[in-house]
Amino acid sequence: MKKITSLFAGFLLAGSLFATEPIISSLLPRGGQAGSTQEIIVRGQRLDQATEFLFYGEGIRTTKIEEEKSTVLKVALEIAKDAPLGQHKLRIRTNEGLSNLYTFWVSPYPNVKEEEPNSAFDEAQAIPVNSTVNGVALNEDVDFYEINATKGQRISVEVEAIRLSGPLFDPYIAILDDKRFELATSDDSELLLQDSTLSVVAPRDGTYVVEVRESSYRGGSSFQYRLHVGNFPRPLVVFPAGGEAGKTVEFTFLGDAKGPFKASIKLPENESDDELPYFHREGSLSSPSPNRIRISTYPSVLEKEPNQNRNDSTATEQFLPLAFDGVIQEDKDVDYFRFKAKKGQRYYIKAMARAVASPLDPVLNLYDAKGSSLVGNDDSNGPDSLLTYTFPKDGEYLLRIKDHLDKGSPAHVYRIETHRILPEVSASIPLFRTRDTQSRQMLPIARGSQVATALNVSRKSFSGDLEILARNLPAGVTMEAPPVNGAFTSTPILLRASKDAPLGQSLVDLSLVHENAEKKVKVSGSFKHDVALVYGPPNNRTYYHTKLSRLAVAVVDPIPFKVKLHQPVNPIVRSGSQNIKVEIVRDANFTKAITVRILTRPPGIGAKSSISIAEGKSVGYYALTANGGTALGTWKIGVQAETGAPGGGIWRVASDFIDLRVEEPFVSMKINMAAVQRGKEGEMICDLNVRRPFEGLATAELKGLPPFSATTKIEFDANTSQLSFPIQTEDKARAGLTKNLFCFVRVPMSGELITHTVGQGGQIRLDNPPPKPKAPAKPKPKEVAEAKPAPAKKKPLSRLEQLRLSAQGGSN
Amino acid sequence: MKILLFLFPLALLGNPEPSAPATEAKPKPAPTPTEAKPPEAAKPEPKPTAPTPAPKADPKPSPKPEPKPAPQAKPAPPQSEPVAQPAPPAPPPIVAPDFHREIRPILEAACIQCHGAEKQKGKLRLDSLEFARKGGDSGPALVAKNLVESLLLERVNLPADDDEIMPPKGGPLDAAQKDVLTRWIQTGAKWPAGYALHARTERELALRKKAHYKKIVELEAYPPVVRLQTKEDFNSIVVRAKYTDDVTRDVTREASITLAQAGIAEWRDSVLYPIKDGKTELRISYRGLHKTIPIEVVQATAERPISFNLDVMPVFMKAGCNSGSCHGSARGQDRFMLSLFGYDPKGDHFRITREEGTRRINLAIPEESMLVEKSVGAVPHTGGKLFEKGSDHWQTLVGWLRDGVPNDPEDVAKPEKIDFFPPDALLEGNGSTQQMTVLAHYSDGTTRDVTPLTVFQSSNDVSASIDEKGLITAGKRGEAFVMARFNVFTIGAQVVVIPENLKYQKPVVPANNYIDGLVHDKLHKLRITPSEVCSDEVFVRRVALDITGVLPDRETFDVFMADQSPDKRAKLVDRLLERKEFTEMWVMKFAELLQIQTDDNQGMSYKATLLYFNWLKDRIANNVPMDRIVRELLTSTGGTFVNPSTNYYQVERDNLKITENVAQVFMGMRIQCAQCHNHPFDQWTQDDYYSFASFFSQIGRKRAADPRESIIYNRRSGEINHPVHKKPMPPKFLGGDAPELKRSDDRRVALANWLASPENPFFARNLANIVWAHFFGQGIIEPVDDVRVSNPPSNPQLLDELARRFTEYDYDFKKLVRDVCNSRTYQLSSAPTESNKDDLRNFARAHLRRLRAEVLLDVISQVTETKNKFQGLPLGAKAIQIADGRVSNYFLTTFGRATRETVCSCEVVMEPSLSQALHLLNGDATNSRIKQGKVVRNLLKDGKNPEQILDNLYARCYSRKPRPSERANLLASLAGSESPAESLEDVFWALLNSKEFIFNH
Repeated sequence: MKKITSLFAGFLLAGSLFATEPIISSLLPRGGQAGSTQEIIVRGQRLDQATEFLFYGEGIRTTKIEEEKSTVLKVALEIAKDAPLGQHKLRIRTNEGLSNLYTFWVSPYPNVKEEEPNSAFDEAQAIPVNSTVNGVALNEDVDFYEINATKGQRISVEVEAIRLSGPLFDPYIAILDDKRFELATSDDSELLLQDSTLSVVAPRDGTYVVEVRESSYRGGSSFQYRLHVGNFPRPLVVFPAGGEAGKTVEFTFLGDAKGPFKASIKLPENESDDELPYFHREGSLSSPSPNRIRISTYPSVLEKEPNQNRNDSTATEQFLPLAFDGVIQEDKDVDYFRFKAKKGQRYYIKAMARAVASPLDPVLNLYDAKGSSLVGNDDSNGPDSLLTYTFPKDGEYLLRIKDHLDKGSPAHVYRIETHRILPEVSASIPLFRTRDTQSRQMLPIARGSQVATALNVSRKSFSGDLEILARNLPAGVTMEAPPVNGAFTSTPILLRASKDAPLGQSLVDLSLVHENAEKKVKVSGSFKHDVALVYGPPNNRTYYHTKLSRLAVAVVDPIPFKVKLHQPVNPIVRSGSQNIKVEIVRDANFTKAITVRILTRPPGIGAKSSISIAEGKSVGYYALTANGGTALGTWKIGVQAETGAPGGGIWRVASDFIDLRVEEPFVSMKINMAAVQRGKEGEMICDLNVRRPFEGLATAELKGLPPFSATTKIEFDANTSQLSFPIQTEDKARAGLTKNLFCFVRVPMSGELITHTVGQGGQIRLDNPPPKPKAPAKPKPKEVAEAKPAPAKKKPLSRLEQLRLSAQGGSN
Repeated sequence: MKILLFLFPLALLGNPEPSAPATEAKPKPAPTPTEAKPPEAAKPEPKPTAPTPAPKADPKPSPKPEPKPAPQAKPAPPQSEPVAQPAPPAPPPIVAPDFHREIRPILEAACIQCHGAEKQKGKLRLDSLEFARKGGDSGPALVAKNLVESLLLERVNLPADDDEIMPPKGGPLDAAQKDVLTRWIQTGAKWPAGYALHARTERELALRKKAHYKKIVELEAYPPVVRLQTKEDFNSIVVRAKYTDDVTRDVTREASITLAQAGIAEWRDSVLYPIKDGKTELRISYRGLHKTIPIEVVQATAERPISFNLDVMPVFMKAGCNSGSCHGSARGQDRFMLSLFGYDPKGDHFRITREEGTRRINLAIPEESMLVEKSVGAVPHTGGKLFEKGSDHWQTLVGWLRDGVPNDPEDVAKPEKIDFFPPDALLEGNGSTQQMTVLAHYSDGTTRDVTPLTVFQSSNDVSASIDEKGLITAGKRGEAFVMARFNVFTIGAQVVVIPENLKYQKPVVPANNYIDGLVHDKLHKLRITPSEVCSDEVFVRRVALDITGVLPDRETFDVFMADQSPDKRAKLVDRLLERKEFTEMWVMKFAELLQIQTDDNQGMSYKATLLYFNWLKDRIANNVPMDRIVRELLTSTGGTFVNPSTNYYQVERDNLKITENVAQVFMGMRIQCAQCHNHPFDQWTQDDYYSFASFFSQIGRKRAADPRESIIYNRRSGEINHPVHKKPMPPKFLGGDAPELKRSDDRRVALANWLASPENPFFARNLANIVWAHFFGQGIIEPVDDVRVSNPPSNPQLLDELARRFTEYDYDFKKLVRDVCNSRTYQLSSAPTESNKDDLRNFARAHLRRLRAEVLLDVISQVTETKNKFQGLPLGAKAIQIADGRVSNYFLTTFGRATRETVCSCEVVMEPSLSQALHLLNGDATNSRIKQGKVVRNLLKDGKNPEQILDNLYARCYSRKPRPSERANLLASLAGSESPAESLEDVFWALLNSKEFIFNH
């Protein structure tokens, strides 16, 4: 005992050596200028031995990582001149693990720090024009910044607040003149959601003040913001909202203080991009955030007024797929499009307005050529609309779009896209807690060890087997992924790192492929991870999120145990159960208790979510049950063992996969209802059906009897067709009906027993003794007592027969 | 099946005018055997133009042969004119005594109590001629012209110690009375047709006598027109006299009432019955004043079948069968349910006749139906015996059963309104009475006297009680509101009771404006004199607290006190109205009514709350008229962030609750009851409720892009079904018409346009009442959000005028507040006068009002010069500026700040509690603030002496200088103090804990 304690002390001393899972809780400042080196301070947990930053995009690299404490890092980030503006996603890898996802923001302008006091109009902090302020909104804090502008100059302001992924920070900004009059205010915007942006043209030479605060005066130290103030263009909406890939289109940019302007843009041809983040530049000045231009592989139809009714619709001779671009120009405006579609084709028809930063709240209706309504929708896609429709015949159709509240303006731009509904597949790691999209969504593998994860597979418009492939695994890492049965929605994958794999990390492309040569079908998809970054009321909804399509995998320091799952000899049968042996292989001196969790279960297989193996012990049994509908066949299953790492965090290691064979049961059973008088003996008759022959003697055990009643185990062979359990009851047993009796039947095979659970729903009734006759009719009970044994011995009576008998007895 | 009338105990019996003198015309060949009087012939004789009865004495020479001079024994009639000529000079022709003046008072005072409709001792009734002739156990009581056989005479003439003497109580009749009776019988015992006698107390007779010295200004008779249709119809008549001092008296039984033409209708005991078709009129005379009621009789011989809706259902209501505690309960009572107050006649018909087979009715023997037997108590009934077997109600039920329990056709007439006569009463003297009559008007144009089927209630039984037959009896001095409820209608009449012999002179009080005139009118009715006007010191503190919610600052105080101009109070009011605190006060009050508070999980984020509050603040600060604000609120559409007024539909998302809230906040009416059944104390029916709710049935709500935001829009479809017939009701304004709406119209727009317009009688009245309540501590209708027929305004004329002005001012609050604050009534002292010390509701003096929580906290902060911190507001902000109902602190909660969870004005708690007192005594509200604010120490630092500091503290807290005695006592106690700062702070603490500080007075 003493030895162990001292050993633990050793672990604790070397705690830092075994720390796992670093956590970033803050990263300040929240961004830097492109083409500069930005010093940042990262705070969190277990950041010691941070070796590398894992960026999801190009343009930033670390030039210095200094560890101040295990909770604080000093880092220098070199931001390339051509680094994309906006959000960059990153993780930190230490020698023990991979951190949560965090973001860092790149702006085109020099960064300035907020200097308190600046909470009053008179104390406004002077800042250079075309700069980015890294500030914080404390509780009820209002920050003021002063700039100079000349008459006619554009003053644009944009704030990154909710997008910085802290608390729910809904910012408000205003531009005031030197006499405190508001020139413009912005709270929410279609372009940036809760974040605010605005631009004005300076009415005269002089100083102007920009006010920033939380819209309802909330705040705190985590309410960080980045405020861009300058003369940059700030268009809000683009018309048309998209175009055909590869084509050069002239776009009009609306919403800028200086009025609309046009630009011709060649749209990229890359098939995977469905939108182009476009930063409009005026000389060296660029908007800090892009306008998003939709790209489709099919042609666009541009609205031509008048198209207010179905006779005046904007018509095209082309067939779907098509995109329709237009503007709900004024209040009560309605736009109609006439187009053609082919019989049997199934389409999503999406009205995109909020998706393209338009204030329009679209309502979409589809009509046939004569104007009869087919289908309509308002809000299936957030405020945007989505129709799903299978065209019943070749011919013309009409689409109508309008605003939900009949509003309209030149900025009420929309784009209707049509997507042929095609087979789709994707996979993601399940969430382990509600409102937590980050835990265990990346895979650190200890050298010489292996980890596994379940993947939830989502298929749309097809069903079929899948193969999972991985590209860009870190050096020394291999993946084992069993083929996914077409009926399964969850599958395990296993990643192994060799003993000599170097510490390192990569973003792995997981692809899912379904190929059916006969039907000439090929469907492919990839890994997806939607990371919620800001939650808020009501009920912790997601306010801001980001999407990932690659899985972060890292090779880290070894851990002191392994887990082995023993391959069972026998199959599990439907409605049966099986215990699988789990063995922990511990390094010398490692004795900690371990929790073992099954990764994923084939449909119909039930199991506890985990079992634990006590300190110092190494063997446990995982009980699996199979319901009557479990898929027959051989399936890969595996477990993962985990235990708390000494420095916090959790160590995980996975077993190899074993085969789980699911077969039909050998026997089935029906339990007939029995009635026994309290304190007497009786019988429970069960009809047995041996469905598959077996050798040797099987056992049957009746379960679920009421208290103070008992029976015995029965042995039987494959030729038995009925079992009779003798029932003994005590006087104190309670009268009444007991339901849910069942039977464990254990059938021998290969020297082991296969457990069946059969006869569910059996019932037994305990009766009170008949009331004793009041008169001293002593001879009578004797008669009954004598009469009874005779028939009882012959043959067990059915319930009906018993009733008949008692009826006869009653009539006598 | 005849509907028998309850014998109306129509109350007042008066000393009547000699309308039907002895002269008797031959009876007309009328269908009834009752005598008809020839009014034409009778009239000229007894009615000389002069109202004084004196000249009439001459036709009545003293009757008796015995030399009994009248003065000796006072003649019984209260008509106290001395029977002046007692000298019987000549052969004594026996003169028949006047029935009304001489006989009736004797019989009514001495006999009818035991031998009338109520009691029949010895099976004898003396209340009508027929009964008197028939007599009782011992034989006929009255045989005309037969002094021997008339037992009546025999019994009153027995020796005083005889067991059989009548009357047994109150001593034997005096000789004069006996003489009158004797003469009466001798001369044929004339008994005018149709007159039934009712027991009278001495008290009533005394009151009647008194009234004779007063001058009548008007004679009123109700109903104004009588139309009798079908054989079963009848109508009761009430006659009332109004005197020069506004006192009213019921003189139905004193007046002479005759039919212009006999044979068309019958006049029997204050009730008219039809005889044959035709027109005539009822002529009423009383003390020289006349009144006629046109009468029309149609279908006089037609039978009227008993209608379930019109006859049977009212019986359930009158007898209380369908009340909430009985079968009207939602689950019924003893497994029998009737719709509460009869909101579902169809359902009731089903339940009675079909629900339990024929268990409840027995068509073969209707009298033995369970329904009937239970109600007369013939079988055990949890509800007890409700009426007599054989009574009118019983007849109705049995008749209906006998007819085979028919249900009414769909188009059966519906009552459309009821009249309650007379509309008001000012009764003088404990025990004076007034009979009421109720007339229902039906949709088919007919009317019916439904007095026997009406439920009566009084709001103040101590002052004026009303019995089940509609007789009001005056009690103690005070006011009462008596209500009549029939079918779905409730209607009320105001009754004022003043004591007799009141020493009251109408005071000469100047009126500052129209408010005072109307208040004084009401006070005069009550014979109350208002208090004096308060002092300038009191006024400046009162008006500052009421208008701005803070104490007058030093400058305001000094300027006002130094001002010598006569209109200095008006100027002060104007100055205060321009302060932004005035706006903040009303923003707070409306924020309460609009329930502005955060509830994240119910869709009200803090952001929305703040935007909503700022919207309201902006509107009120810019003096946007209230009707426009309300219109903006009710018709709002769009996102709750973009267009914050839409939050009105987000704070409450249940459309029925919205309906109720709109009625309560903007019309002051609680219509909640009518959701499940007709309102028991008001006019609102379920139909009204669901018609009104229909305006809100098409509100659409959907999520906006921001999860905290919602979009409110007009769905253009959607209905709320009426729970009884499961069909929607077309939109109809509450108490107004149904608007014409197209399908695409936003129903809320129609509603808002009506609601906030002069067409809606309730809107301006409600807002005016809210304003009034703020400045007087109680509304003219109290509580302000409980406007209903049964809770009438204490001064309806005043409320109407305020509402009219408010409308005229284009719903500008400021102007109305200015009127209120400039009125003398607002400026009255709180010191009571002898006559107004008990008055609570008529604004005869100022009442002490505890400062509401927010104001009290602000005032404490103000005088101690300390600052508060509330969420969302900068340090030092005032409590009345708090935007979110959820934001509070211990002080505010203790002193009853509204939580804004309901629209009820009752959320603000003004009642004192122990924790409030303890908090002020020990909590940090006073002591630590005194220390923190360093007021005393700073004054000392500035070199002020204790006397100056005392003056400062008094001015600060009370807006006055210390009285000499206060000053002397305090200075004396300070003189010996070692630490003047601490002692003065103790004084400060004492001031803050005084009633004078925490009350507005």
